[in-house]
Amino acid sequence: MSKAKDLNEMKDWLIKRISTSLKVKNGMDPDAPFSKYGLQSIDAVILAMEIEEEVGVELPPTLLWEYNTVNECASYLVKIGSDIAA
Amino acid sequence: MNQIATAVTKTTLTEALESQLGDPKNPENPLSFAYSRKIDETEQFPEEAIRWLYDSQLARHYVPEEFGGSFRSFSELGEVIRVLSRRDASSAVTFSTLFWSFLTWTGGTDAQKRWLADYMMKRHGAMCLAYSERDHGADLAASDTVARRTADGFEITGEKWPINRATVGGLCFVLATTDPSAGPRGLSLFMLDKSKLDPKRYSNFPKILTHGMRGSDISGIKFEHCPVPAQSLLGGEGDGLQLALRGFQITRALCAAISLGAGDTALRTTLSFALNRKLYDELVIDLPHAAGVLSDAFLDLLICDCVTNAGLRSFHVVPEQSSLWASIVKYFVPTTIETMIQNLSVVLGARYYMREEHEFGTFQRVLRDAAVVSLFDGSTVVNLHALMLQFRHLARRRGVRGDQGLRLGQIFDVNKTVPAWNGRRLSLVSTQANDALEGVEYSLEHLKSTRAESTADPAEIDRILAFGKKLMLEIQVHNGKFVESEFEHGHLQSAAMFRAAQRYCALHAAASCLHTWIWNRTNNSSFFARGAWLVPALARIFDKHLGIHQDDVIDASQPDLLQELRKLHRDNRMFSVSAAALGSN
Repeated sequence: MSKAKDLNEMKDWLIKRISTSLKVKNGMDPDAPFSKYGLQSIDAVILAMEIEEEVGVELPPTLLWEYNTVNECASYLVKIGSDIAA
Repeated sequence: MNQIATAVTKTTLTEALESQLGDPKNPENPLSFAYSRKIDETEQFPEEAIRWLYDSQLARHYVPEEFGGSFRSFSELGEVIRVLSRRDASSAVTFSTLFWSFLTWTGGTDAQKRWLADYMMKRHGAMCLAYSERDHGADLAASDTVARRTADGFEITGEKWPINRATVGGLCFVLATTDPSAGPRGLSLFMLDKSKLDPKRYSNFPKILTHGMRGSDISGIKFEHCPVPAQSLLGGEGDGLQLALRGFQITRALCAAISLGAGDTALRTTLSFALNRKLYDELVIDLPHAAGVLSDAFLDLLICDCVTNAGLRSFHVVPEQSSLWASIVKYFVPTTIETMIQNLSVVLGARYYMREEHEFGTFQRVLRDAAVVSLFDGSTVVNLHALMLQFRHLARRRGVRGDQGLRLGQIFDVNKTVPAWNGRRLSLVSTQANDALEGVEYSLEHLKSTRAESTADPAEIDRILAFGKKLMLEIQVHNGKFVESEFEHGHLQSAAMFRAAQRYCALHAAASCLHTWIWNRTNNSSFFARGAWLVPALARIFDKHLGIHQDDVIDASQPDLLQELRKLHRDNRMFSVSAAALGSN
């Protein structure tokens, strides 16, 4: 990620990123738990590691367990991004 | 017991324990074959055996030194379990539920750890792991058991079944949902002292009649609005799944030691028969087919020994990779040994089917008892699934850290002391590539540069180097398939992915054999160090697990393997890399 994203940009980016990985066809509900789209426990940790490499910020391995919807996860990532920007 | 508590090496520990337990063929000894037959036939809980094990202070091996026990390394603990299992797998499994204490050693508070150490060693306490539910099997996240917050703790409601030692045991590790909306963070783990619970609020399901382990207490437990104290929570609220998955890494690898013990006995009792029984004017062992089955079984045990020991040492050296090593060990070792035992049955002929006669009918009992290992603590399917989810990520991490070479000696050289274990370093998924697979090239280069130090024939070293190259190629083929693959998730994986995961485990097994020999070959001038078993072992893995036929190599190695097998049998030594001396009185 080249620059800090705002919340809406982050939500859009996450929906695109996660729906590609999980092959979600009909759009993601930003308030639905990731398990609705087939993401379980270990695969969620691996996806979090892939996201970590892409955003360039250290993330907890259980990111997608702790913040288990697009909205929760986007808010957390923006907060982390802001912290780093400051 | 002091001798055992202060044993310096793994082999010393094995031999001290063996000497203490004696020859299992002697009915007077604890955990003898005669005793094993009795508890199997009567389906009675092995009470006398378990009491003897506690009275002999063996629970100490499961408790870390800092809490007064003698646990230092998983490879030592694996030896204890193998020695017990070689006598009676049922008693070994019943006693070894103590390994669930690693949940507390990993996630507990100091007070919880001190209490548990005292409970295990002084009060001879035992425990069960209450995760599974009748309707959900291995799907832990789907738990219907609920723990609701109350003013002074929690109230648990739900049923756990089938659970080993749910009834005959005082402590219960229970996984329950504390927040139904929180997904994987909604589960919490509790360590419950049953003596402190209201007996009206919990009950046990009856013992289940099983195929093997017939003396075991495989039953279940039911909680009905059962109040439990806040201090019984292990880790924080919502930490349950994370702790459970870490605990499984440890116990899955230790389960392989149960298989190794059972496999040793299955081969030993079959060999005793083959060395004495005459058919067509020949001893059975001299019949070509029987000889082939026996030498193949010996190779299988050596292979599984290398895989298990490296897996157990990995927890100390590369806990970042343990999610891989544990699943590989838990898939590969039990399934290989269960097949090996089944293969041996043809050598025994009709006696394989008898619950008496040759050596107390031990073979059929081992066959039934050992069959549970690939099933419990995460079945074959669960372990292969855990691996396949990581393939793409692992293939992409290849070479990210090129320092495997520094770690290989520490993982595989059995004379190197491993670092102290730290459960908090266990990763849920591997954050590094697999050192065993990534390190093959390094170990082969190391062999080339130090070949003069080896006791092996130079031609044998050339054969090993050539086979090592073949292995590297197969590893490259595997990684090549996954580096550009799609992200895998969920439980609906294809049958082809399961086959790929099985091949991956076989590659890891081959690499483990290669590294084990390369990093230990100068330690002595034994059969192991001469290295003539290694190429046949690699060939057996390629042949049986990768479908690359190696008949010539396997057939040519048979006389040498049989000679060593007969020698180990005659000298009463374990069919293993260390060839430890076994109890003889």
